[in-house]
Amino acid sequence: MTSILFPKLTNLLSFIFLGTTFLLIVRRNLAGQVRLFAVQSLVLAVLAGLVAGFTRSFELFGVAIAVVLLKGIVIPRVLNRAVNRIGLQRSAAPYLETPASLAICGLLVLLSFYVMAPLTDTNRLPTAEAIPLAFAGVLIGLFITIIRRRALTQILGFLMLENGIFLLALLATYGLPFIVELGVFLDVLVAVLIMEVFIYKIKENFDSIEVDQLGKLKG
Amino acid sequence: MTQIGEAQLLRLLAVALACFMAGALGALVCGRSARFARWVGHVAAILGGLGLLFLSLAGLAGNTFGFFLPRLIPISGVALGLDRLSAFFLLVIAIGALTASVYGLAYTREYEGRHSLAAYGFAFNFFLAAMALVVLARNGLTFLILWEGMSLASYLLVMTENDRRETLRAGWTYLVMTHAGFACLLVGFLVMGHFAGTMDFARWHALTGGWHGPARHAVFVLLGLGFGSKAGVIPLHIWLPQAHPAAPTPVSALMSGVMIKLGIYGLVRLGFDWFGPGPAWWGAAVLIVAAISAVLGVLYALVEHDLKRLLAYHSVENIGIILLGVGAGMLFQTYGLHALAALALVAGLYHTLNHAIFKSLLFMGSGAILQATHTRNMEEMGGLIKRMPQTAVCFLVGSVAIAALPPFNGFISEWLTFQSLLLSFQIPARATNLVFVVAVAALALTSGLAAACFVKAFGITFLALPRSEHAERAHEVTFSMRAAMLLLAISCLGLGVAPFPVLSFLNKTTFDLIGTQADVRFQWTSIAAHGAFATVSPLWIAAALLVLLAAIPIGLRLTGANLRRRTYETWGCGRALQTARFEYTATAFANPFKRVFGLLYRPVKELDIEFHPESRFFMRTIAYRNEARSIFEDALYRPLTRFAQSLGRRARVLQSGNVHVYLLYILIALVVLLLLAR
Amino acid sequence: MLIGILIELAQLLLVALGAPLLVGLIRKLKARLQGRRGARLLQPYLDMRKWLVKEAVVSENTSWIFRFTPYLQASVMLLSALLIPLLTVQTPLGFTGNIIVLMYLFLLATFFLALAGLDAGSAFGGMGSSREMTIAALAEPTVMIAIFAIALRVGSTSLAEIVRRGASESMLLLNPGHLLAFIALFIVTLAETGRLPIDNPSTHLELTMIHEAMILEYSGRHLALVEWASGMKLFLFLSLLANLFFPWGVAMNRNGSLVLLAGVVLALKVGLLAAIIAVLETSMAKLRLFRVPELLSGSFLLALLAVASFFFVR
Repeated sequence: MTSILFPKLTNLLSFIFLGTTFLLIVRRNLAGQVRLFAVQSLVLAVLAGLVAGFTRSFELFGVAIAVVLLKGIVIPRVLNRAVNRIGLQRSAAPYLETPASLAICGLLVLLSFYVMAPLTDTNRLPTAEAIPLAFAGVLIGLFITIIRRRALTQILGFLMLENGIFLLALLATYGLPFIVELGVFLDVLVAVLIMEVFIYKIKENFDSIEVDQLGKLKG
Repeated sequence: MTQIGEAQLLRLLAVALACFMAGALGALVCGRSARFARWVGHVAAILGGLGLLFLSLAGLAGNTFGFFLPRLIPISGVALGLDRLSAFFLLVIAIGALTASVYGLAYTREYEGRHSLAAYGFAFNFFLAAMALVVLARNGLTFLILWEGMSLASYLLVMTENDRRETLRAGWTYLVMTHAGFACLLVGFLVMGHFAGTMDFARWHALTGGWHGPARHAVFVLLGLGFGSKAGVIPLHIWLPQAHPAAPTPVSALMSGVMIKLGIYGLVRLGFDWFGPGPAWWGAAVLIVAAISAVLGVLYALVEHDLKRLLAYHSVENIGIILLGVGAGMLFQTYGLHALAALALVAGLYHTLNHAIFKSLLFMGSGAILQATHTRNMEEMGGLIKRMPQTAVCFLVGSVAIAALPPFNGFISEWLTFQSLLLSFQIPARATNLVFVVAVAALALTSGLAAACFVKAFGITFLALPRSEHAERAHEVTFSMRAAMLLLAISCLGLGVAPFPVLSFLNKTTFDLIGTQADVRFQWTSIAAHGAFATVSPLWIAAALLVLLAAIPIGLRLTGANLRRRTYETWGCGRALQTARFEYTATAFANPFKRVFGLLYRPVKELDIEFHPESRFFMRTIAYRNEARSIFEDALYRPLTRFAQSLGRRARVLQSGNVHVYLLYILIALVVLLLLAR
Repeated sequence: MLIGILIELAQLLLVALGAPLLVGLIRKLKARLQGRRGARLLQPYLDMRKWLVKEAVVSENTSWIFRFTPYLQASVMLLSALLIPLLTVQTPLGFTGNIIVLMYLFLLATFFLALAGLDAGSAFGGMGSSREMTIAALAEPTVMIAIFAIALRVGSTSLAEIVRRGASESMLLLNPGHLLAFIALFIVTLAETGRLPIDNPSTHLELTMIHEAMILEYSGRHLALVEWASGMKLFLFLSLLANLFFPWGVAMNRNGSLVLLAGVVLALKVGLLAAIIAVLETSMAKLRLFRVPELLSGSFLLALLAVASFFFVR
């Protein structure tokens, strides 16, 4: 029973994972965007827990708990603090209209399905079906960092990209060694903290967190 | 099935051609009396059209002929022949010719004394004869000469109202585009002839079977471009929205309903007859071009408020829908799914016939409105349903049919196209599957947008209050124009409710081309595609709708509902009077689309308000312009013409005006040629 | 033969009589969620009766299109009730149209309603028609791609076959493509039936209404027919969602007691979907008109994903 259920569940959860990435494009409210990231991280943690249960890997359980703590709670808190400090802002239009961005996201998903098809066809892992979804998550995360004007949304895009990479590792190889994961987590945390400070500074200097303004720094 | 001998068929063809020739020459001879020229030209065309109709029916029943005359055309001689595919397109031509002639007889009356009806009658008959012969041509040179004849005759017809600047410009664009297409065809045919070693169509299929290499792709691309420019696929469509409105209405109906279909004829011959199954990218390219044409065609139509231009853009859209079927067929053929290929081709060909019918109908309707109101601008129409009730019903039938709604004919062919696209999941190649997904989405979007566009076209034109004095004084048109429209409207319903006869002919046609029965079963009452994958029963649906439509009023009566009706003015927020200025305009109707697809239209908005000098709260005049611009003209054709002009300017250096220099050029050219030919 | 006729009659009555109740149910649920008592559950029936006894006031600008449209609306909806496997997959008229035919029938109704909106010559009607057609056109690709996804899973576009295959499939609800197609079609349902966040069925604020703007000129029996038809459309869409995506309970034969049971199960499923709509309408604000395309493009994306998942995932 579990052998049928397990791939189905990982596949479904990966779709939900990808769905949160799409919603990040649609959502305009900053606090809502942060909440989406938290939800996505929790989905990721559940997936990690699922894989851990399936492979009976103790380390992976630890990783799952770490994901919940760090990405589900700590980083959203930090980001929320940033949101509060920036205060309410008129929502800036992205570089691309939402329908067009969603269309491109659709193409990116199709692309990742297409590119990953040889891999999923030959891979015998029960989780192989969901690999293109994780890869699509990475691509869309990157895409978000490209099209968004606001630094905070860009950071969220980056974080989702990182989540995607984590999911990819999880699905393709059942996770990286524990030490490596911890190192990556630490990096991400430090990166977020640094970026938070930067956002604050940008806001102080330009009274806006639109990255367009950075162009003015050029001599 | 009765067998008719070759000689009889040839005699029939000769009679039809003789009618056309008599009409053409008769109109010229009787040029003095415009009235006489009009009658001679049109009656001859009607008789010739009848001849073509019989010939096509005989051909569809399975009769064939071959005719070869070694003289007249050097090198290859004249070769004609009839098979089912030719007969099918001959049917399209015959229907178009008959109705356009009946309609034109009355329509061209107002040309008397204003434009030359002799030239018109000549070109009209010549055009019909050339089209009929194009589909019968059986070798390359015969085909090319007739093709060029057809293009020139249609050019003359477009130029009928040559006293307007717009017409001159349209004629020029048409001439350039059609000759660019012709050049592609010429080179394509020559390359094909060179590699195959013959210009004979019948032998190409066998010879191209084992033929590989870049020349084969080059031939496909060249011929595809040539036929595509005649069919009006995007981005080769720019002549359509100019030439169709400029031409007299019967000619618009013929060009849009029939002539552009010969581009489809060429593509079908190319993809299924001359070449067998080709590489996947051929079909995929056709499919993608078709999807783009369909969606962009209807999007441009939506923001167009010139009724005839709107219809012209819809031709681009419908050519796209037809080519979705053709392209899908080519792809199925590539992957060896011949039964599905036949199904897709049946869908495409059925839509070809349907489009010929409802588009002729709609153009004739627009011509009737043009005669009644003397304008093509929809913003000046309105309320015509009360002034021209029969034209309105015919136009409504055409609108519902082109929007592919049941129970009319457009629905059947679009339904078949959808099924063949959905069945693409049987193709075992993922990239191809994705192309089909795009095609399905494009067709769906197209059908929704087409419905929206014809709500606008019919609603703004015919409903509510007239927006101008012209529209207020409109009246119903003469009987022969209405008769032609009525005939086409009935055909729309007939082909939508009982598609069986045409489907069975088409099934045989595609069998001849592909060699497999189409994956569709049909009886009088139902159609089933691919077993139980999809079924529809147009007859039952129409019948059930009728029964329910009759039952509801009876039900209301039985329940004791209040059946009284009081006529009162439209509710207008308490305004004192209701005028046409309160109505929604065509621009307003299309505005949401303009905003949603703003990326494509890049609308130019201008708002000029002149305030009253005393107070800003009173305005003197408001001028509002909101126009969409064509990406293709801006991004493709304008740079192209600019490039051609700069080339011309450079070439001007050669023109010194000195005779000796010109003679020197001749010498140089001679020497170069001699060296090359050595 | 006789049983077949009885089944079709039962479906017809179910839709015809159930539609006003469904409308009443959603209104009642919404009222309760918003802390109001709300009108009676049976209020829509009383409204219909009221309209039927009143005389119809027709604008002097209108033509026969305006008077014909209400009858066409009701006829199309009743015809659709005959085609859809509401109670059993063995509906005698099921063969007359697959799911695509059904969608085109709905489009036919929308087409004429939009024409009727233009017919009176008031700016409201035109505005409603224009917006309604915009939304209908933009919803169409989602519908077809979602249908494509269903066809891929089932290998058929016949409504009965989709239900039959769905019921026999284990773990249907864990199939991501299935769920994605459901969400996509659910959003389309909201758009097509004029619910929040696309259109507000209870507003009469001129600049925000879509469906109500189109039918502003109707009164008397015409209004009764139009409102009845739009109620039936909602009922049909919800029962399509219920039976295509959660096919359990639909009778696989013409056994009388099973058909009866199917009716009860269908009522429960539709009631549940109605409750979801009520909750959504209470918790969401109407979208600006020009953000509706964003929502629809989102639903299109979901449908596309559903198709992709069937192509690429074994």
